[in-house]
Amino acid sequence: MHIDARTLEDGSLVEGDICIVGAGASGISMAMDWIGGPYKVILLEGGGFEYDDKNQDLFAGKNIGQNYYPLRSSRLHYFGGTTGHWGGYCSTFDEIDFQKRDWVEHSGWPIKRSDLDPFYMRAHKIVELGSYNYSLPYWQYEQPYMKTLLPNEDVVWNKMWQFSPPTRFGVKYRDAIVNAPNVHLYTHAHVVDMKTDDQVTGINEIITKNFEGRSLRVRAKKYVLACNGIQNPRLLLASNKQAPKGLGNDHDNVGRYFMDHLEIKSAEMYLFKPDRLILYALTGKPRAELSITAAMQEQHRILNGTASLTPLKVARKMHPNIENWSKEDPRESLKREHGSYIEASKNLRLEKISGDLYDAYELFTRMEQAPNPDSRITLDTEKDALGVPRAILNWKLGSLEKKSIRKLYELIGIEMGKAGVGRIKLMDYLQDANDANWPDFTGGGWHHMGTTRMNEDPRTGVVDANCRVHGLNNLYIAGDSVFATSAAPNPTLTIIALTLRLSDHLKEVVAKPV
Amino acid sequence: MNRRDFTRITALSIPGIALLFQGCKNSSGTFEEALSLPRTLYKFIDPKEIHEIGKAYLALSPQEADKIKLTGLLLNGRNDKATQMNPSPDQAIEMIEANIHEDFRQDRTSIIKGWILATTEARQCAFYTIIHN
Ligand SMILES: Cc1cc2nc3c(=O)[nH]c(=O)nc-3n(C[C@H](O)[C@H](O)[C@H](O)COP(=O)(O)OP(=O)(O)OC[C@H]3O[C@@H](n4cnc5c(N)ncnc54)[C@H](O)[C@@H]3O)c2cc1C
Repeated sequence: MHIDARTLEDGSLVEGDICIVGAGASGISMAMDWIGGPYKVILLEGGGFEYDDKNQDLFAGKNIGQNYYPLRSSRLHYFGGTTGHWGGYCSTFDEIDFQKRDWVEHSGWPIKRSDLDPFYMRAHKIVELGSYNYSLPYWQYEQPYMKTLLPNEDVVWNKMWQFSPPTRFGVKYRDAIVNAPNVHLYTHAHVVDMKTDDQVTGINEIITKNFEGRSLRVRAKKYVLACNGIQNPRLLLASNKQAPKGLGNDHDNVGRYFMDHLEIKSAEMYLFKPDRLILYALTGKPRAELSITAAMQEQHRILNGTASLTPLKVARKMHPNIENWSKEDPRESLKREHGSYIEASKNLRLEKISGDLYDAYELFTRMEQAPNPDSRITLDTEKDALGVPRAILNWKLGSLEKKSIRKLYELIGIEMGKAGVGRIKLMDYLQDANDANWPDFTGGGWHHMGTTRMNEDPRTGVVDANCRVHGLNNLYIAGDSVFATSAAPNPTLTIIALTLRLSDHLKEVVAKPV
Repeated sequence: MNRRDFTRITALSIPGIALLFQGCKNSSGTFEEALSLPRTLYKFIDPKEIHEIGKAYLALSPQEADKIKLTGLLLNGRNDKATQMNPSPDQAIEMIEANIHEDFRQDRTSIIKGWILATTEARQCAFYTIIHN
């Protein structure tokens, strides 16, 4: 069922069993999971069904740290959320990503990789991926022409990826949500405040607003914030009437530990014999990226990361993401990003004729960022048009990320030497092991993780292992803001897996009499 | 290269090495060329860069800035062995390639001017730098 909140009387009250705030990848995944059940689900979406510039402007904010994409254009504010722009790259986190690593401060989740397996499997269907199988032999059996670059995987292994079409949630799931009798979708219901009881032990009511000046009050047994890694902490911090430091923020963790994946060109790989290396090629079919084994990460005390391969002649024609995605209007940024790919692939077609395209590759890193409490989201004194303080992002990178990137390629280079297949050259910015600076083309993956991190200890985390905000009995968080560490892969598959896990948990909790 | 040749070459003395440079030339070029041309690298590294790598290596290992010493290191992997045999340029190339492979296996590598190289490759670049200075 769909209700446009602009058509309601100002101050209307709606009530339900659970209230999900935000209809993006995680909010829609959860709502879909409740369709046909006995519970009334209220799904609040700040935007409408289409892009709208005025609504999008509610996401504008400042960047004061490491150069980053404009906050206004790095997330989408309408039904379907940022899946309207995502690229569909999917892979699972590794076991080591959930472990406490003594060389990575603040690492460790209260859950294990195996806890997520059944949910990864379900998430696969939602983003329309193939079989839930990330083993190389499985895919080589399916596609025998996928040959590995290196003969053994003791140091460098082949991490498999799969590609969603990419599923545009706003299109794919709109009818199912709108036609579900027990899901009540309210569009133009932008949440501006969450009110608690006097003791601040739980949420009593959520308030939404829109540009027509119609506010809506929503009450439910359980509330789930699924607004994304910047808006989740922003909303917690801005809901500060009863809790002056913001909700769930008794220990000053909300908004801290902001992480993105470092996505940056890092090295050039030269082969003795040209090879198309189809296993690593971007064709839409599953492919591999080169990664360092857990044992080697431990031995060298580095973060998890992967390297993807693009023919050098093509890659040299591509502009860095941080340069393409510099416009405040997300549609403009997307156009520039696509333009860069189109220009480069034109070059691919031309170069193919000369036949020497596959003798050299650019190695592009996707590196985990170490959790850093100083890398954070805070509130500005400036407010958006609906009266909520805007977000300020201070993205901070540390030295471990750089050391890890350098080591990643050193290890790949040595393995290539052992195998006699070619050589690697690091880019200038990696050549001096003592140089802590980052080059202008340093970018992130548009992944906003860690800002309401998961930890069983309220002093070091915002949510517990069930994604419940510490200290509040009925507020939960879905999305990558709960990630304790970021691992190397893009986050959406893991976001959805965690959301489905939360969904199962809530079904149990809501079923219990209060 | 067979095992017997390899043992003979790795027993090369420094005066013996000096003789190697005297006019020894065959299909692969002179003995000097065999030592100074990193066959694994020349496909994608131009001479100017090889020269730069060599310079950088010598700055890190100034004690090796000597043609004779480098020859011993390139062929033997160590410079403390004596030898009786004059390897041909082709044999020298084979020996060097074996050393490069062994360097990677034994983690005798370094990052020079961004390149992840076997020590033997870096020494070849150094040799190139010395003879082209
Ligand atoms: C260019 C680009 C490429 C990407 N490519 C990939 C990729 O290849 N692979 C990958 O895994 N990830 C990728 N991502 C990231 C991916 O889009 C996000 O991880 C994912 O969309 C996050 O899901 P979410 O539900 O947490 O947030 P979103 O999808 O952003 O959804 C949040 C929803 O909440 C709504 N909302 C926000 N605030 C409020 C409020 N106050 N009140 C009511 N509603 C609100 C929003 O309108 C939105 O609908 C990419 C992102 C970008 C920008």
